[in-house]
Amino acid sequence: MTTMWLALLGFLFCGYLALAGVDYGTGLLMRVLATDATESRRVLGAAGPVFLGNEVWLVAAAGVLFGAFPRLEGDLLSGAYPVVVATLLGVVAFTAAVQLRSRRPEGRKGLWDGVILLSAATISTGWGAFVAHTLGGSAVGQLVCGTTLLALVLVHGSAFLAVRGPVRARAARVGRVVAPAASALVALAVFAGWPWQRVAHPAFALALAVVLVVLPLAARSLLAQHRFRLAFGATAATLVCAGALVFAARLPVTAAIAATPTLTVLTWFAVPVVPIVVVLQAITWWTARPGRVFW
Amino acid sequence: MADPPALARIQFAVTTTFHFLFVLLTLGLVVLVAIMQTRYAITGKSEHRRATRFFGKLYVVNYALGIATGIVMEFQFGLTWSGLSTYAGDVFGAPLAIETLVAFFLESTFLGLWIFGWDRLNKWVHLALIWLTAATAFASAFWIMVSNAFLQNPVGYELRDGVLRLTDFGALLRNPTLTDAVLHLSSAALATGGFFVAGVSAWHFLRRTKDIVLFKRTIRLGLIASTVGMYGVISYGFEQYGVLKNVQPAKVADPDDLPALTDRLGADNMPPGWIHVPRDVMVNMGFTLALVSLVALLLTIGNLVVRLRFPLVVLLVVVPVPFAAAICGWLLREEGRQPWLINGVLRTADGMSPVGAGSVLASLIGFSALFVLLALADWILIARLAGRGPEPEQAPAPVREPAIVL
Repeated sequence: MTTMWLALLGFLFCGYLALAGVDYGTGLLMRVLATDATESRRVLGAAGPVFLGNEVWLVAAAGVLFGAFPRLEGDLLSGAYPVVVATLLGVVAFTAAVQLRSRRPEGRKGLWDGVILLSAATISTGWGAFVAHTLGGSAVGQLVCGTTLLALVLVHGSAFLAVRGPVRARAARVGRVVAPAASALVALAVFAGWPWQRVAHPAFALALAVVLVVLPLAARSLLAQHRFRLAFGATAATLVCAGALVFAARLPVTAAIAATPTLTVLTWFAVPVVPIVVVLQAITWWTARPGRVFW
Repeated sequence: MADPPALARIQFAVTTTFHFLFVLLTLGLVVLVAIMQTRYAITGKSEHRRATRFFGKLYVVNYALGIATGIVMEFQFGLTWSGLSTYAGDVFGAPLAIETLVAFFLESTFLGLWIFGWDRLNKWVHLALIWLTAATAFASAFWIMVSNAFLQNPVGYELRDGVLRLTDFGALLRNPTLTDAVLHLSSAALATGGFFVAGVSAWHFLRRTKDIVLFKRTIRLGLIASTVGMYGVISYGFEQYGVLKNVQPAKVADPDDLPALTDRLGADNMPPGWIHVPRDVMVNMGFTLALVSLVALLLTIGNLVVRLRFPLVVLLVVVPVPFAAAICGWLLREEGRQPWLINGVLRTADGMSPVGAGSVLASLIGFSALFVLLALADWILIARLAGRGPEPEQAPAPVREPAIVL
C-alpha cells in the first residue's frame, strides 16, 4: 500500500514536471522564437490543447501529497515557505496570463507576454530551488538547482516546439545551444552539491544523476539529426529523472504516510480515475497532433 | 493583528474569497452552457450554437482564474496550516485528495478537450464532454464540502497516537452539516449563473441588439435557472438551521440571545459578536434576488421584460449581488466556526504552521496583490467579451490546420 502510494505520488510529480515543463518551456521561448504577433500566437497555440491538462498534474500531486502523506506535506512546504510562495505566485500568474492573453485576439499582448516569460522562469527556477531545499542544499545549491531546472525546461520546450511548433528549425537550434549548458549545470548541481545532506539511496541517486547529465546531450544530437520526436522523448525523460532523483534521495517517508483506512478509501477513487485521466490526456495529445484529419 | 495565525487566517480568507468568486460562476454557468449546447445538438439551430460559443467563452475565461486561484488553496494547507494536516490530515485530507483526483484533474482534462473539440470531435462526444465537465465540477464542490463539513462537525474519526484517524468514511458522507449545505451552495451557483446569463442578455437588449431570437432564449433560460436556484438557496438555507442549533448555535442565534449563549458555552468558545451581520445581509439579499428573479421570469410572458425596459436595468444591476451574498454565506460558515479550526477538537491557533509573521505577511501581500490584479484583468476581459456579443454565424468548415486554442 505504501509503495503504491509513493509510486503514484512519484508518477504525478514526474508527470507534472514533464508535461507542465512543455507549458513553461513554450512560455519561455514564445517571444524568443516568434518574429511577429501571429507567430507568437501559434507558438503558444502549439501547447494550447494540452495546456490545462498539463497544469493540473500539480494539483493532483499536491492532493495526493496532502491526502496520503499528510505529515510530509506540512514538513516539505512550510519548511520552504518563501520558495514555495514565490513558485505558487508564478504558477498563478502563468496560468492566468496564458489564458487571458489569448481570449481577445486583437488586444495588446506586450504586458501579458512579459508576465508569461517572467512567471515561467519563476516556476522553473522555483521548483528547482525547492528540490534542492528538500535535499538540504545551501542557498547557492538552491540557486544552481533552480538554474538547472530552468535550462532543462528550456531544452524540453525547444524539443516540443521542434515537434509541434510553427518554427521548428529555430526551436531546434535554440535547443541545441542550450542542451550542453543544461547538461553542464546538472553536473554542477549534482556533483558540486554532493553529498547532499539527506540522500537515502546514494547509488540509485548517482545513477540517475549520470543519466541526467547524458540525456540533454542525447537530445542535442537528436535535434541535430532532425529526429525531433526522439529528442522530445529524451527531454521528457530528463524531467522525469529529475523528479525521480528527489524520490531516490528522500525515500523512505513511511512515517509520514496516512493510516490504512484512509489509504483504502483513497485507493477506491485513484484506481479508476488516474488511468482514465491518462487515457483522456493521451487522446488530447493525439487529437492535437499537427496535420491530422479529425474524426 | 500582527500575530501569525491572524495573518494566516486573513490570507486564507482572501485567497478563498477570490477563488470562490470564480468557482461560483463557473459552477452555475457550465450547466447553462451545457443546456444551450444540448439544444443545439438536438435542434441544430444556429442561435443555440452561437449562444453556446458566446457564453462558453465567458465561462472559459472565468474558469482560468478559478483554476489559478485554486492551486494556491491546495498548497495553503501545507504552507500555513500544517498543524491541521499533521493532526487531522488522515481524515480531513482524504476527501480533499479525492476532490483533486476525481474532480479537478478529470474536470480540466474534459474541459481542455471540450475547448479544443469544437468542429473537431463528433458533436455528441463534444456534448458529452461539457456535461462531464459539469458533473465533475459539482463532484468537486461536493468533496470540498465533505472536508468542510468535517471542520464544522467532526465525525467518523478517533484519536490515536495523538492524531486523528479515519474510522468511518461513510460517516463523513452522512455528516448532517453536509447535504443541505451542498444543495444550498449548488443552488446558489445555479442562480448566480442564471443571473449572469440574464444580465448579459439584458445588456444586449438595452443596446438594441439585432440578435433578438438568441437573447430572448438566453434571458428566459437564465431566469428559469435563477428562479429554480433561488428557491433551492432559500429552502436549503433555512433547512440548515435545525442542525446548526445543536452543532453551532451561535451561527443562528438572535443577537439578543448571545449573552445567554456565551454564559452557557463559555466566552472562549464563541465566534465574534458580529456574526449575525453577514447572515442577515445574506438572507435579505436572498429574498430580494428570489423576488427579482420570479417577477422577471413572469414578465418574459409576452416579452414584457424587454418591452418595459426597466426590468432589463434591474437584471443588469443585480448581477454582482449573488456574489456578495455568497461571500456573506462563507463568512457566516467559517467565522461562525471560530475559535475552532475543527469544531470542538482543534483550535485555530493550534493548526498554524511554525512560520513567522514576516513570512506570512509577505506572502499575504503577494497573493492579495496578484489576485486583485488578475481578477480585475479577468473581469474587464469578461465584460468586454460579454459586451461585444456573439460571433456572427459562419459555416463550420472542416479543419485541416492544427487549431490555435490559445
